[in-house]
Amino acid sequence: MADRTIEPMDEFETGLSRQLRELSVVALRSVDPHEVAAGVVGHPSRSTHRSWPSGRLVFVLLTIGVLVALLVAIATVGRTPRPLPQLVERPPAVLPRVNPSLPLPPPTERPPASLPRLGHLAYASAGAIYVANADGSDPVRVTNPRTDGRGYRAPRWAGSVLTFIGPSAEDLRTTVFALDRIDGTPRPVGRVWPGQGGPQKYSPDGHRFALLTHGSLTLVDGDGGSVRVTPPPGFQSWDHSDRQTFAWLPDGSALLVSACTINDCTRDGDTAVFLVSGDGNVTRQLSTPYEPIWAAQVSPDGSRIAFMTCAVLDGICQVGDDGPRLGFADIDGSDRVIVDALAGQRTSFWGPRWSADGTHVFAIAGPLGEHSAIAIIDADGRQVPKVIGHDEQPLAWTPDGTGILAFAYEHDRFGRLELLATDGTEVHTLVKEVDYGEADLEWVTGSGADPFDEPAP
Amino acid sequence: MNTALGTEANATLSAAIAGDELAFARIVAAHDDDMARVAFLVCGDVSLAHEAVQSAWSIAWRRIGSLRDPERLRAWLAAIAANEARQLLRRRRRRSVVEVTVDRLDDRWEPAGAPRPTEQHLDLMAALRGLPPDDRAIIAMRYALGLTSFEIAAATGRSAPGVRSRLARALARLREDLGDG
Repeated sequence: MADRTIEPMDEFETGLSRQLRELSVVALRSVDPHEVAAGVVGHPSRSTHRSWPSGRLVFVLLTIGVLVALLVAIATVGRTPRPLPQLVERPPAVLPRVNPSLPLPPPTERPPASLPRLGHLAYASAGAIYVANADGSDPVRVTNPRTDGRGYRAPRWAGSVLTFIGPSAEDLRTTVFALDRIDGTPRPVGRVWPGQGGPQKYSPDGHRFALLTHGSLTLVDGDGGSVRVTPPPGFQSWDHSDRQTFAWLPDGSALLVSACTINDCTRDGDTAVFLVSGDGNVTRQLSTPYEPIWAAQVSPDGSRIAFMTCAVLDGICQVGDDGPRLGFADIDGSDRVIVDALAGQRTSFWGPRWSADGTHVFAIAGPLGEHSAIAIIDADGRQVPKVIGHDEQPLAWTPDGTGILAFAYEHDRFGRLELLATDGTEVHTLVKEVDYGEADLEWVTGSGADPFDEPAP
Repeated sequence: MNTALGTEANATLSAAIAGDELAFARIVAAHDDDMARVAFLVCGDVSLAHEAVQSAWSIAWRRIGSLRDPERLRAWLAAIAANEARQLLRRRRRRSVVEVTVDRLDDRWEPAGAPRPTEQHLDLMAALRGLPPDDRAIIAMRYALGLTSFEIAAATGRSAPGVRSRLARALARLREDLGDG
């Protein structure tokens, strides 16, 4: 049974477990569970004299819900979008140039013949950011050794620009850094609140930068102008939960992003997906609330999306006991295909990602017995998915579509970056000792566009 | 799970799903401590945790029919408690109420004569507050309740590798904040 898989703990984890149990025992006063139960369903031992019967509770909750919905509707009718305020803090007008004479050293070890030579990959390890050749050789630390260990993380590529998150040198506030050349001098391009890194992405053409923090979406131009995008009427905030859809269209003209109806999207299905143009206008709604779509990714030609979705029961998205499904649709949300099974067995899918040629999507599938797997699905979702791997977390396709970069779980602080052949025949370990949560890498080709070589539009 | 105990748990769950309030009360008695533990570690506030647990039990009562696998009951309840705690925390932040500090938390340890937190506990509490609520929830489910990444994944709608990634990131921050490695 998968749920019973033993996951050993090291000394720190064992101590943490003991302290957490002690802490909660010390802190929590005991509450009679029978009183708790009575508060929910009526007192079980006095069922003929229930002070709060369940039917009445449901009725009252429903009534409150209807009243709240009415108030929200009244408040939003006729509301016009507020003008977009300018942010006080602006990033540098132009990202500083750094010394181009300090490129990455050429690889000293030839990769195995079966590995493509495909530029560079980036990863975080022990609070520092590294860039290495595609085969994992010649890693170069790009963060300052004096400040390493402070928690630099989440490296992302856009063309040859590398962004990552970490504390600023001045006041330790969480900051987004960018490198347009690899020389160890990261420059801050935006700031987010402490402890809330938030998703951040350059458009594929590198002309715009999107930053999502605390439910606020900000688009930053190549010339440093920034605009805060107001959620559409009826939506409270942009989704900053880990179900956020946050993807640029391949031409950089628009961003796919989801918004929350209420409660910061803490309830299943409280989101809808929108297209936001690069200048900050909400141009299209791709889904409605309770027709949930999340983690949507746009195909390389911009015509299709692959996304996660769920079965809806009584208006509630069922993603707990009945895990998420994989969906495909046209960019306008039509022509949907749902994939929810492998070999006739109901299976859940997570984190779809398109191959560079748009012919396939990979996703995590499972649980399958005692592990999960990487499923490779054809672009229209109608063929039987192919399964490779053993509990790895897939991160990125190689540009030629023959391999998938994946993170392999190890029990300790670090894991391995591996390259899995999509035909299931080979697995190569590229890098060891990579931080667990910081391997959501992009694979950049050597010919990636340099957005700062030409003036911003 | 012991077969006899498993059969009994199945029967209790089936009865609760069918609307048997006594059966549901047995489930409450068995899992209320776990729920409170998770809620407290997510929101760091005892009274808020009890409020979250009360709300979580109401949700569990309404949605228990959607639970198909009895072995997932504990993780499912913990996930609901964590979610309610996160929501209460967010609502409270929106009302601009000052977040409970370690000092104030220390003052709240009552009643007199009850065991008081050690310096280690307070350091741990402060370190937990440095994590996002989602991470605190996963840490609580893994280390306070001993759930596996598969159980947490199934209850929270995430993938198991995703849960492990998130756990590791949170763990790395805790190690750093608590001065380990």
